[in-house]
Amino acid sequence: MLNNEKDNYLKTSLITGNPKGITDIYNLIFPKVLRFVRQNNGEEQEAKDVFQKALLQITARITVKEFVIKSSFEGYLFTACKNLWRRELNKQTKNRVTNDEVVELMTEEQDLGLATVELERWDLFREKLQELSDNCRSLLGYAFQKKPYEEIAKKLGYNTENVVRQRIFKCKKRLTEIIQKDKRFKQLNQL
Amino acid sequence: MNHQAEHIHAYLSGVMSAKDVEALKKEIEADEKLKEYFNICKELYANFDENSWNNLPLDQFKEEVKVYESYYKSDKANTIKDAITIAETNYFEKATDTNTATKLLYKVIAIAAVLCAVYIGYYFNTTYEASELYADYKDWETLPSLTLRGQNNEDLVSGERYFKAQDYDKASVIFNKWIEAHPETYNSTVLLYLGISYLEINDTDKAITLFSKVTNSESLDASKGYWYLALTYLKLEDISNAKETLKIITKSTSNSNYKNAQDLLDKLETIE
Repeated sequence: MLNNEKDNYLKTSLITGNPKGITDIYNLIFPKVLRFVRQNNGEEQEAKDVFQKALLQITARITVKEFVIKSSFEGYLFTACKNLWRRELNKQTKNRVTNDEVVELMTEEQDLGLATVELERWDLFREKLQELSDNCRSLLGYAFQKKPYEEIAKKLGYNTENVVRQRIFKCKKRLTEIIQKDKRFKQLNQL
Repeated sequence: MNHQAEHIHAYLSGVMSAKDVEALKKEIEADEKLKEYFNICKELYANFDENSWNNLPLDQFKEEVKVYESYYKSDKANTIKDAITIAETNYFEKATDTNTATKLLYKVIAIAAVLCAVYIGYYFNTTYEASELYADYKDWETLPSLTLRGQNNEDLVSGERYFKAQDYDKASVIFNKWIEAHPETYNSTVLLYLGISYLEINDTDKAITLFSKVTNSESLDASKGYWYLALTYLKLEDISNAKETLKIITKSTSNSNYKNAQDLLDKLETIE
């Protein structure tokens, strides 16, 4: 089966609820997700939950908003799982740090709905990044990986660290502006 | 605005002094436009940080969430949920069968290998397998970041940068300097970063000392110390000590890296 055909088969199996096809999705991608969750302080049960939720999230986005997966299905599902696990870890950390006794009560569907909106927003930020020049994307890629300015200067052929710093600032500013201008972006009062 | 924007980016990149941070916070509080800009920048940084996630407040996204909530409650979604549950059961039943078959296959291969070795009077060399396992299990990406926003910790930010750029010599110098400058502060994450830097530049004695220090602490990270200690023994091809250390982790499922330790232990059993 060609990659494209395989992708379509997996996606259609998921949207139509075909257990055989979804088992193929498990065979292909679950081991990778399990390894990721275990490497990040999680257990098998948590990997199972994340996988189920990510599969459901994808069907919701395709069904409700006719979302189109631009990368491979396999890659997109893995990213969705990684994001859901990071979301879970972040929630746990926040609860521990703030020692919050008042936890916002949400139904399972509400929480999954909120997670889906968060993933949509995450995708929007990345989509907007693609609108920047190649050079800006490379600079921001290194900056967000926290690479030292000295190293970035060497890699991208800049003369001084100061030029790199200024360029990164301009690219970040530009990205912020184009995100704000997108009509799908909703300004937050507070994060 | 340009000037203020520059300050906001400096603050969020963790390269602003505590005094300037306070002044900036006051400016943000007093200016609605600036606050909007700050919020989006803050979200941008968290969005592109591999160790973070933006948990959105439900009260500001009620309408958007409702659309998905209705879908998740629908018959259509329930049909898909059922199909996923069936698929998961199928997968794990098959995985159990395969595991049993694989274990049997491993046993047959192991027996055949031992017989061959005895026959030709040849001792097995475990070097290749230990180094392979070390490469497979070392994963420094999972270390928590040392970048704490709003705190004056330029040294740690710079140490982490060198660490991520795999310049372990420079990273170790910076972390060492930080530890010496803060004799009263115990920070297990910094100790782990320093230990791993030493491990990478093959100064394993120092790495062992640091990881042991973490294991002896009262912090929640104590079990992490055992994991990195085990990896150090693995790099040194000291299988016996690696196994003993891993066994400490597998004593409790709540220990960090419990599953990884169990898996690695199983694999090490096949070496000796």
